[in-house]
Amino acid sequence: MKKGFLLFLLTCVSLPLMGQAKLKIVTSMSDLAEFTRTIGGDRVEVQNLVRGSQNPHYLDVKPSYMMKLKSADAFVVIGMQLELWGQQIIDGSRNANLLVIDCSQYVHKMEVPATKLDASAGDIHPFGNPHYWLDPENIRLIFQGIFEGLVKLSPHDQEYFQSNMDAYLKRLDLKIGEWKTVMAPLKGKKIVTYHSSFSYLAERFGLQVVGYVEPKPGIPPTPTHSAELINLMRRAGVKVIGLEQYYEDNTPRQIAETTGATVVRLSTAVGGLEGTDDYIALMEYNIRSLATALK
Amino acid sequence: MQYWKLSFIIMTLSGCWASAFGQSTLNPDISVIPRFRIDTDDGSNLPHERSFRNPRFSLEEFELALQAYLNPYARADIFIAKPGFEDEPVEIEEAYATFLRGLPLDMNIRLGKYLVEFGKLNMLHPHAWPFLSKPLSLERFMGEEGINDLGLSASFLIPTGDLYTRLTVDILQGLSIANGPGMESPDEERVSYANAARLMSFFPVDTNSDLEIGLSGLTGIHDPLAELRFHYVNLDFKYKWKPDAYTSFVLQGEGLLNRRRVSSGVEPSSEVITTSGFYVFGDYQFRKIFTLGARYDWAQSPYDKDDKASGFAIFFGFYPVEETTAFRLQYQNTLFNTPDGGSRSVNSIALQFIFSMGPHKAHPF
Repeated sequence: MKKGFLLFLLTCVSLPLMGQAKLKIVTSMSDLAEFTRTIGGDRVEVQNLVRGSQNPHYLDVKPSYMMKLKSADAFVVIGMQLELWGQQIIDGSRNANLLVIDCSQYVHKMEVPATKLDASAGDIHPFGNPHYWLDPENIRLIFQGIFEGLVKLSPHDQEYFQSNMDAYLKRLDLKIGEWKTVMAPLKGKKIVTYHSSFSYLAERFGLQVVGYVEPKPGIPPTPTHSAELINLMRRAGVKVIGLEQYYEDNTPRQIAETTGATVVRLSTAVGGLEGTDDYIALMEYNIRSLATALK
Repeated sequence: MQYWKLSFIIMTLSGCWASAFGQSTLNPDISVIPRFRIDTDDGSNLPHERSFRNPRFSLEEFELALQAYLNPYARADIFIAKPGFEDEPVEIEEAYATFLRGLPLDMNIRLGKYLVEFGKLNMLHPHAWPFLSKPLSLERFMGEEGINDLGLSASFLIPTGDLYTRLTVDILQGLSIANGPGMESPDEERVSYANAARLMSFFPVDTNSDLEIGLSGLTGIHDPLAELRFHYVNLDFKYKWKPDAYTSFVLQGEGLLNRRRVSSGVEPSSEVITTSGFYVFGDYQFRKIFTLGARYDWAQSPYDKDDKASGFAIFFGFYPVEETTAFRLQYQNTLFNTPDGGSRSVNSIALQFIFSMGPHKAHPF
């Protein structure tokens, strides 16, 4: 009798848990997928659209991405018009209940244009430089956005999400301390990058990005601009060109050969290069590569 | 006169945009895409002499696109086109609203004048083609303007698990059929409705490549006086391999089967004619800014199986700054076989220049 009652009680308690379906979350980038998995734990099922090796500015609008969003509860994006392709995929998904979590809402934005924009400035993002996730201090703010979105979808998991988030941020804070120590002696060093992907990272660790291989954001390199950049690098004593994982290395290597600089492959996303399987590994890789090249 | 009208539209729109710059996020996206062309061919003096005529400069088409959400549930797209510099009329190429959300069965409804989802290429504006000339099968069976009609379209996602499968069904006024190539009567009073449908599936092949397959049908009355009906069945495919931002390969093709009743001389007797056509092309992007492709097409006439044409084209694309400017060069040989057994081969060379102002969105896969 006692056993029967206990079994009944156990069934009553476990039934709602057994019936609790996981939240289906789709993210634009692999970094956001990792962050969402970290906070959501076993209560979420996460897929990302842009692979780590791909340039997130350009993505073919594929029906298979629409299918992923069709059954999703939320779509987590970087925002600030990084995912210009995003709205077409959202519309194509026909998911009227989809929650869009824009992680840029809490972040302090850099390089926000102060004047009217036109295409003569290249592919300028009107809301500022969207590569803010490469500053590790911004991860706390990104987590806040994802956390609030997940709580909206599953309020009774708030404590669980909070404890997952706190545990990760504690670990990240320790790593940020280490990275600051590594980068401290290199404060004020000048670098050149292909695109303006590393502005936030450079600002956080005191590096100066003095030029870009692209003449304007999104515009392929030209011989005239390369010549100007070579002169600039010689004058400023720049010894490192940071190159995102998805750009060609012909022009950066030619510039590096002429100026005696080193081309350093950096990753802008989790999984972009070997050894960048999670965000901490990604930052570790970027920091160590820059520190080695700048010493 | 036509240009005056077009200028007025642009000035009015740009004036509104400028005065409301502070509210520019509420204004529609405005894009302008003109297509210029220099071309020559050796067909004009045949059969007496095979020589290329002097190259001719022309404005193929000037396209003005206005696109915006109407509300959280619907968006509208308007494309105004003006071919040539002369007195060619300004046309409303497309003007439609799409209801995207809030409908039962996750249905999308499109209402207005639009390029019908029949096959793969019919919906695509020519500036997005990798080549300069319309494939012969589309030109002969769908006409210069394609299947572009007033109507209502409903599309549904078919529940096939993770596979994207979409069914689109159209009820059309039938005007583009009546005004199409070789159609018997452009009389609007007598136009009969047309119906179209397309079933497509999208298969991710591996991480870097995808395949889309579609089956379309179109039926309508091509001769309202004699009430003669035609049926088109079209099979299309597109394969795309894109391992990185600097390399891609597209293989695409369509095959169309036409079956129609035609007058056999003395009314009311008629006979059934079955003809067909197809095209297939490959386009290889070998640097970020260069593409090279080739196309083969073959088509009979909708009305005569002995009236045939085949074409072979090689085309080269140069996109110096993304999609904002494009140069395309094409050589094409077209062989026409007439019902009386004669044949005529024409070579053509064309250079196209396109620029694009504004945020006209990328076309889906």
